[in-house]
This record gives sequence, structure tokens and C-alpha cells, in this order.
Amino acid sequence: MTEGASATRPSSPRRRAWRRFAANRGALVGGGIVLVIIGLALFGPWFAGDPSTPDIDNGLSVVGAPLGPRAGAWLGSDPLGRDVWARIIHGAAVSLEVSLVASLIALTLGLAIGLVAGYAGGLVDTVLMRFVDLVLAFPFLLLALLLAALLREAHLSSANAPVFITLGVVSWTTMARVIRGKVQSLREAEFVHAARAIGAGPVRILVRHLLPNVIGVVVVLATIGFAQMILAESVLSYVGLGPPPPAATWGRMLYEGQAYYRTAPWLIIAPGVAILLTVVGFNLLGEGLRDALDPKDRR
Amino acid sequence: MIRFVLRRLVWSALVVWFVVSATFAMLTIIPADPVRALLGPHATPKTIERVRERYCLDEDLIGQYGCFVGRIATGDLGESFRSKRPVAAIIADRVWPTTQLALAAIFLQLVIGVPLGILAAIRRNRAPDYLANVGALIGQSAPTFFIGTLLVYLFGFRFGWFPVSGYGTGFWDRLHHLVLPATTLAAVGVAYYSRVVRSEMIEILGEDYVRTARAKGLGERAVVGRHALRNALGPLVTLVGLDLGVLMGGAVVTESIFAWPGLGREVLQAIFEVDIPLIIGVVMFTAIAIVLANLVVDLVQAWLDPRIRIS
Repeated sequence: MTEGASATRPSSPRRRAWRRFAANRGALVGGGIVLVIIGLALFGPWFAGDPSTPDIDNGLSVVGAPLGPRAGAWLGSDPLGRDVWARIIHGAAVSLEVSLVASLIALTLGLAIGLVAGYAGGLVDTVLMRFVDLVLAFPFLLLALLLAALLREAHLSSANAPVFITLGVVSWTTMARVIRGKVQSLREAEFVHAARAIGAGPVRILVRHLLPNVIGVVVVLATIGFAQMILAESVLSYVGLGPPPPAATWGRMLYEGQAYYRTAPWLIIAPGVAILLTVVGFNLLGEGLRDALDPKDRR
Repeated sequence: MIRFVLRRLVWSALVVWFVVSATFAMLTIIPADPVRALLGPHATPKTIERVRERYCLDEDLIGQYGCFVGRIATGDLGESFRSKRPVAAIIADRVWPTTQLALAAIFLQLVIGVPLGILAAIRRNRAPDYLANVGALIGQSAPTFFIGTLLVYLFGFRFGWFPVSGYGTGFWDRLHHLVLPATTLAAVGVAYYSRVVRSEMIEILGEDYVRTARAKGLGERAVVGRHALRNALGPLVTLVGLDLGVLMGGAVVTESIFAWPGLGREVLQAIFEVDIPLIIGVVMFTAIAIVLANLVVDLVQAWLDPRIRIS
């Protein structure tokens, strides 16, 4: 942030937030990683090659062992001769898609419950927040595993549905709590009283007046939550409850690669680094956004 | 204090009841054939009949619910479909390995995470803080199964220092087998504890009593070690308690990687084989462990800090 910039341009809250973001090295690195991964997930599948057809002629040695990184397959091949890079790219698409739908489910649940509890107050608030406490008391990973295993038995129309429903349903609680606190503090603000005075109903106040004021928090929580979703999806995939084959997922790639870790370590390093980088990217971006949008919290 | 204890006890009972009911609801609402979900595809007519009877599937919903809650309330968790052993006996076998792993992981989180956090706080915004920050970010972002597999590759295979699977016999052998799984399990916690201690320490080092301690001529070591540290450790009581509760449910991924014979590996196998009675048993056990841990943390905090009792 330079003196010259603030002198030449009018400074709005949005511009100040952007300037804080642009001055934060971690945030920029995170944003860069996220952009690259989204780009690879969107456009990569067109040129990254075939992720699912076995290629014994080109991917395996004469004794049938997977070939390591080399020209034309810079991340090596897997035990079926498939190109690991192509599978990583397709895995990015699967991971982001599942995490996005799961995040939208968590966002909707958390936002709805948080807004209603915070605005209604009283008994409604007590009941809803006690419910949040109860859900939080559930052993998180076991809940997810149980839910994913049962939903898989339910034969839903989309093969990925058990995964994103599970992830969405178990991870809305933080959002609900934070939004509720924020709304509670805004409920008696002057602009809300003013809206009420001119006859706005509760729905209009919630959607038109309170929602825009919590968007900043929502964006920050959703970004950091997205990192958690990617991690959780990889765990489900790793234990065999993720998106089913033939979809390539990072978690399952790592699981399948484990049997070959002595002779083909690229099979665990490639998907592991992919997950790590993606999660780091979203975490850094989320923290950067928090520092930019809410500088009071900065340490 | 008695009122506070009573309130927490009622709340704990409510949580356990909720976990039981939510589990029942999941089994009921999800549109899978309950008998198939309970038994898997290879059930014989005789076992199907046994399960229908056991879960009162021929009664209405309320009857089924009463049946489900009633059995669990009397401590009857049924028997595993896979091994035909009572679920309670299986859990009892698995608790001790899981406990050792959980304690070892928490020990590592404390002896690595706390000094890292202190170092980051007193060397704030300098190289040690920066490094601890990057370490914490990676610790929080890397999936457990990646850390575990890397440790297996490096310290088990490349250097050959530690065994990569199994439980070990005798004290030293057990300890030797514990190193890699405990390190894997502790990675996230080390990152988290160091962050918590860092921000606590930074806050405390700005307090008046720290300035007083410095003003009266105490050395930096005494200020940090005796005055600041003791107050920064308060939140750790909570963290350790909650971690212990969660870890008692078994570290699903870690135990599976290292073939550690605990609850986590057991429940994962149970999920693969859709061994529902065993899954429910472990979920109940874990929920109770978490609730008890929360209860103990609440009571210890209330005992340490009278303000909590009143609110």
C-alpha cells in the first residue's frame, strides 16, 4: 500500500480491501495456486490425455512394472500403464466438482440456519444453536464414513451424490455459528430499524439488508471450508467411499499407489502433492481474504 | 457448582441420546433395503430372519425405534456379522491399542507443538516464526494418509529405522512400532497446538504483569518460562481433552496404514464389509468417549475458573 495510490484514487472500502489483499504475499500465492488448479480442472481434460484406458505397451516395462517419470509422461505411469499426469488432471476436475457441490449444500444449510437463528433470537435461536452443538458432538469422521457407506447402498441417481451429500451435511455448523453471531450483532443496527420502520417484513430484511452485510464472512468461511472439503473428499476416496471408478480421484490414486511405494514412489508423491498444493492454495487464499476484508482480526 | 455439574450431566446424556437417534434415523431414512444394508448381499434366509427379529423390522417405526434404543440402553450392541463375536468384546479388545496410540500422539503434539509455538511467539515475524508458520500450514493442509505414506517410504523403507506395520511385543518393541503411527497422527495437532500457543503467548507477552516481571529485573527466561507460559497453557487443557476424546474413536486412516490393531482400523473394515452392528457399536463408543472428555474438560475448567460456573 503506497501513499501515492491513496492520494490519486478515491478510496472505497472495496478498493482498500483489494489493496490489502494485493500487498499480502501469502494471499497472492494462494490465489495463484487456486487459479492454476481451477484452470487445469476446467481445460486440462481436453489436452491431458486419456486417464482411464490401460496402456500396457507404453506405460509398463518388459517385466510389467510401471515406468517412472520420463519424456512424454513427466509424472510416470501407474500399474496399468496409464499416464499419472492425465489422472491427476482429471482428478482435479472430480475433486473440485464434488467439493463445490458439497460446499453449496453446506453454505445453504449454514446460511439459512445462521440467519434465522440470529434474526429470530429467543427460543428459535436456543433450539437451533443447541442442535448445532449436538451435531458438533457427533464424531465427525465416523459420521461421514457411516453416512457415505449408507448412502452408497441407497443407489442414488448420481454416482457422486453420496459423497457430496455426506460432505455437505456434516460441515455446515461453523458457517451457521459465525453467521448467527454476525446477524445477532447487526439485528439492532440502525439500518435494520429503518427498514422495519418503512414496513419491510422479516424475509425482506434478512435477504436485502442482513445478507449483504455478512457476505464478506461467508466468502472467507467458504474459501477455508473449501480447503477442508478437498481434504475430506480425499479421505473418503482414500478409504474407498469417494466418487466410484472409473473417475480418477487423488485419494484413491494414493491408496492404489501404496502397494507400489518401494518401486514406484511417484504413485504416492504425485497425488499427495496435488492434494497438499490445492488445500494450501485455498487455505492461503481464505486467510488472505480474511485479512483483507476484516483487518481487525489481523495479528 | 452442583447445579453446574448437574446441567453438564443432563447435556451429556442428551448428546448420547441424539447420537443414538441420529444413527437410527440414518439407518431408517436412507432408502436402502435395511436388511441388505445390515447384512450385505450374501445373506442367507436364516440370518435375514434373525436380523428382522433383532431390529424389530416387522413392527412400525416407533416400535423399531424403541427396540433400537432399548437394546443400546441395556448395553447390548449385538454381534458382528463378519466374525459372529459380540460387538462389545471386539471393542474391548481394540481399546487398549487405540489408547496407546492416542496418548503417544498427544505427547508428541505437546512436546513439539508447544516449544514451536513459544519460539514463534518470542521470535515473532522473524525466521523461526516464518518457518513455524509454513510448517503449520503444511501440517494442516496435508492429508494424514500422505504424511503416513511418506514416513513409511522415508523412515521405514529408505532409512529402515522403524517398522512400518504391526503392534510389537514387549515395551521397547511396542515403542519402536509406535513411532511412525504416532508421528503421523500428531502432524495436524503439532501444527494446531503451535498456532494456539503462539497467539496466546503473543497476547500474554503484552500484558501488564509481564511488563511488571520485566520491570522488576527478571531475566527473559523467567518471564517467558514462569510467568507467561503458565497462563498460555490454559487453552491446551481444553485442546488435549477434546483431542483425547476424538482419538479414542480410533485414528481410522493412521491405524489402517500401519496395521495398528485399534478401533479405527476395525471400524474401517466394518464399513467395507457393511458390518452395521459393529459400525454402530464403535460410533456409540466414540460418542460416549467424546462426551466424557467434554464433560471432564468442562468440569476442570469450571474448577479452575469460577466465572464459568455462573454463566
